[in-house]
Amino acid sequence: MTERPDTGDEPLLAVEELERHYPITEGWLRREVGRVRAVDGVSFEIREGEAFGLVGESGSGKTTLAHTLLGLEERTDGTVRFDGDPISELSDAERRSFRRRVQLVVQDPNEAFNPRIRVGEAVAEPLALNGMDDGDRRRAIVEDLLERVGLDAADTDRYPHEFSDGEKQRLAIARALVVDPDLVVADEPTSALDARVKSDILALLEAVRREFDVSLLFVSHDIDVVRRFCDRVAVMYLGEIVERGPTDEVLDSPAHPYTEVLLGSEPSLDPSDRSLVRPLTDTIPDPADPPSGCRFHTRCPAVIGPDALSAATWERLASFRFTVQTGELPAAIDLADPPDRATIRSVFDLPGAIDDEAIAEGVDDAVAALADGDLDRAAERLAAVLPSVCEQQVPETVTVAGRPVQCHRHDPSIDAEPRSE
Amino acid sequence: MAAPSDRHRFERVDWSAVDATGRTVTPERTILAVGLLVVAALWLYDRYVAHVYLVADWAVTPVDWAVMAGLVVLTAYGVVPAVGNREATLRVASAIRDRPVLVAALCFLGGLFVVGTVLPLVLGRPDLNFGYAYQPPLGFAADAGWSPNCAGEIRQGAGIQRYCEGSLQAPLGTNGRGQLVGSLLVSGARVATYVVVFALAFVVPLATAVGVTAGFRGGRLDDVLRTYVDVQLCIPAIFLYFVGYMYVGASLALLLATFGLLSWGPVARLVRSEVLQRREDGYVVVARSLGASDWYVARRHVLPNVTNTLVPAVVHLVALLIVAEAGVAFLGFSDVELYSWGSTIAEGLSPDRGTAHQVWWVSTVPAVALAATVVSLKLVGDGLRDVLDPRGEH
Amino acid sequence: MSGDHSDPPTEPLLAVEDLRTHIHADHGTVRAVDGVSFAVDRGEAVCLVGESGSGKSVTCESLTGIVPRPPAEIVDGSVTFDGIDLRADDTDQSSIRGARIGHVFQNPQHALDPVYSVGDQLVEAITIHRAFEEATARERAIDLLGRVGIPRAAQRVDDYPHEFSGGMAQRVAVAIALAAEPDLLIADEPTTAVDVTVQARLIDLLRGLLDDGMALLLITHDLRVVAALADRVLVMFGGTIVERGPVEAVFDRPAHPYTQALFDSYDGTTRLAERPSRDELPADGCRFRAECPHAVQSCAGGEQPGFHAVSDGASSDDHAASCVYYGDGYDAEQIRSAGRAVQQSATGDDDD
Repeated sequence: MTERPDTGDEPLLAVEELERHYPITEGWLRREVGRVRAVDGVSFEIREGEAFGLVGESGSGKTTLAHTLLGLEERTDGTVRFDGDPISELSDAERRSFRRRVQLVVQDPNEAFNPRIRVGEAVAEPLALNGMDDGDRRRAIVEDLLERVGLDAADTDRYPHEFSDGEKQRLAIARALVVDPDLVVADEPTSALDARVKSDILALLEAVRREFDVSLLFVSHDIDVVRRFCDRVAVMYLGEIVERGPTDEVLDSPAHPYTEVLLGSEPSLDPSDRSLVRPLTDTIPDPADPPSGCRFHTRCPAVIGPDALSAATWERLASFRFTVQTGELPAAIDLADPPDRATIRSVFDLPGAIDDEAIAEGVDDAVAALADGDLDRAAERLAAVLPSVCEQQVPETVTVAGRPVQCHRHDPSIDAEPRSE
Repeated sequence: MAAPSDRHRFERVDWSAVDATGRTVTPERTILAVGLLVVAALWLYDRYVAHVYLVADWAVTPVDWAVMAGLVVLTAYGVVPAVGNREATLRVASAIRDRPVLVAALCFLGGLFVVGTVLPLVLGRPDLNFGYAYQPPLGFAADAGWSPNCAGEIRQGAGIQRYCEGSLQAPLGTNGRGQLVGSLLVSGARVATYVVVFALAFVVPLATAVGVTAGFRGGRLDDVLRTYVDVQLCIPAIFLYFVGYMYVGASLALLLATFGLLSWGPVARLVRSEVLQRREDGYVVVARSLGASDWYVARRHVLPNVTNTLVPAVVHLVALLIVAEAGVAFLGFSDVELYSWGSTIAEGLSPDRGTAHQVWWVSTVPAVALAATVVSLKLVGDGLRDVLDPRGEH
Repeated sequence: MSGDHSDPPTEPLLAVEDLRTHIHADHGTVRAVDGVSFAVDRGEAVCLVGESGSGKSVTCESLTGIVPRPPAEIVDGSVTFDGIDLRADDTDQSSIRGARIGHVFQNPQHALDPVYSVGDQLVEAITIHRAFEEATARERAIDLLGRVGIPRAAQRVDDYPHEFSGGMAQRVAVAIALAAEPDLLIADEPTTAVDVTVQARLIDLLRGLLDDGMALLLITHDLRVVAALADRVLVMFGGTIVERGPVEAVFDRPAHPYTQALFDSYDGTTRLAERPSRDELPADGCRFRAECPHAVQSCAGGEQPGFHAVSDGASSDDHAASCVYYGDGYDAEQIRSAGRAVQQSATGDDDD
């Protein structure tokens, strides 16, 4: 995938097929009974001076990914190259240099600082840890830097609790910059802040980026922030990147249905436009047992159905099928005391007539099974008559408008068109 | 500072020049190594060449060697960092000054420490003087029938009743063998000081080390350590002490070993749970991302932040050990030569048939000293917890 | 109960007049709520917008008296709910709170007791105000869970709070608030701790409740949530309401300089202004004057500026701002044009 050209435009950070799995163990012997695939085969690169956004819901693995890059979590597999060198093969001295050149800004400004240590010392900690023993020199650097992030040199002698949230986040940024890094990993740096303070912090980060010439990896669930700040963005779902590309293109014309759902869930700032996009089902699958094929297929509004069905029919049947599969039935259907078939049909708004005989029969069977209170049989029957390529095949990464997307709808070998909005 | 024109890079740091590996020689380690070497050399000389009389005729016992090593540890990791980090020490000192109760308690404990370490060497053992048994303390009087002689005035009471008054010769009175209670108090202070030094120098670091290791490493090591602590908590220390007593007899070293080494479980648990809570905090994550070791993070970021719970817990543990030692001594299972406060109290209560109250000073004076020590420890624990937290200043 | 006069149809469900709540702290008294007046009609969604420390949560907690006292003290003002004076000494607040006014908070896991199943907590909430048979109450509990969109409600009723995800736990919290079929739901940042996809479903849920005729007082700092739910908006700053009006009007023409600054921060106009910290906010006059680019002498001192209609000739009951510029003798156009600039601003960098 990522070649290493000898030219100067080699990426600052290149991540290839990175995996981070957590074993789930049982008992005294810690036998592995499963694994949470928090990060599962992720590739991207960050160029010099670039701001790269990583978006996704909580549980998508974006913070784990950031921590794995920094070496805070062990890699299960894959490579991370920094400045062309795989970080797993760095010598001790090179590793120290890597740790200096990549810095972290954490999410919650209230716990970003040790309450027992004066902020001057805290901001200077990266210097001390990197072997700068001269206290006066450290202090001079920190005082200069505090003024650059909009604080006062005299603030070095104060304790963290004497600062507001926004000021603490400025301090956190100062701490990251103090060792003159090449890449700053910012994990939700603004999500705990009020709108106006958030805006200030983003402005500061923008200024910092220009002035200090750093690249940024911006982990966020806030699309507004990513839109405003990032050059390129990757969208993560259940440990995988489903789509990545230039921010404007991804956010203005999303190719992956998950990106569409994510963007459509954010209410518009226009009170007259109150539409919200709905995923097919609301249940976020367990990352220890991700769905087969495309991981988003259980919630995907654009999941590909059998050819025989019209789009409208399939939409209702897909919703029925995956709701039954996840077992998260609406309250009207209590399996201990199941309602009759007609009620089930109306609750799921099932189409009366289905063109395809086998499917119609299978749906009838499933409804009957549900009316008997047998959820498993209903799910099996539906899975048999309503197969989807999305659950059977892992989507290939295809290029859509010059950017990589993992969706069957964009795969030319699959007989389905990308949904137009 | 950088010139104002140099806006692009604020200060060019040549990282290849500063990028040294972490220092291995620190003042703490130097003091620790030198101190331990001196103690070890003396011990070896004492053991294999000739008996060492460090001060006068003080015969140095194994417990003394252990406590000397303990003092070295406390100096290296207590005094040296406090001197090194003068700013923080001064802040804490000025906060302490604002709390008279804490100052009083610290003075008491400081006095106890000096009395317990220096005076026994000067005074030696309390002398027997059967001729002057049960002399009352200065300012009090007691039935003269308790003693053949009376050091002070003899006052005639009603009928044949005669009272012996306290004198300067025995300001705090004497016990049934004519030993000065004041002298016994000093000997007892030495035992209490030993308990404190041993607990702070060995037991607390052990508890902290186990807690930090279990919290940071996690996994199977955590399971093993936790299970071990659980098992240890089920073993009564006194039982183990008695088992040892059957073989080696009464010994302070045995007592410190059994009680000290079986009592750190709760502190270790506390440290572990605090480590688990703090290790996800932003400043810990940032320090780790900078390549800081677990020990650095524990010492700089975790332990200073758990002082709210750790300091009172440690103090509680020390107080518990002092009371346990006194209790064992009270029961008569400790080295009588050491004159622990517990054994003096027991002695003061031994005259039977309800007459012990007539010689109340023998038991009361050490009991007051014991209570004052425990109360001071508690006050110091709570006071230090408050002054160590910079947020408490507001 | 004191509802001794029949309610005229025009009377609002909840009327708050000049509410003042002070918080007594070690370093002095903070006027957390300082003269707040508003009304909520039946079936209406009113949003209270502001940043942390603006007093929006304290306002809502003061309504039903759940604000912790001490340190807080409700020093003045009247709260009338359906004709009942909630501040009167003889009013049993607990018969209103929970029964007719439900509360939902930001963090559902704090609101739910971890040692009881959600069913137990729902049954408790149902039977606390009305006598029900145990079995009937349980039936109702399952109904409520279903109504707030918890799948497999009949099974999940016996689950414990930690077995629910953040979004589902918030639904449970809403179900508990709905247990006694309140007329008004006060929701304090109910969607702040959840993902956008979950937030969208919670918004759907609240819309459904509004359609059923319930009134909603929603506290949030997120203008997007306001746009998605509100009928009317109240903008709070420094313990005072600085702007009020129908949602379309406020979003179309943010009138108060603070509201404009708030919209600014969404539009991506970068600004690195010095902000006074919360302790340093002015405690009289217009609280925003220290940060306001248009501040004049008369912004200082006394009570906050009176409410003036934003559009010329309109009633100040409609879209109004507490800003001297909209009163007599000032040129409101100066502020209005700033507001338009906000609406049209592109992402411009002001280089320093």
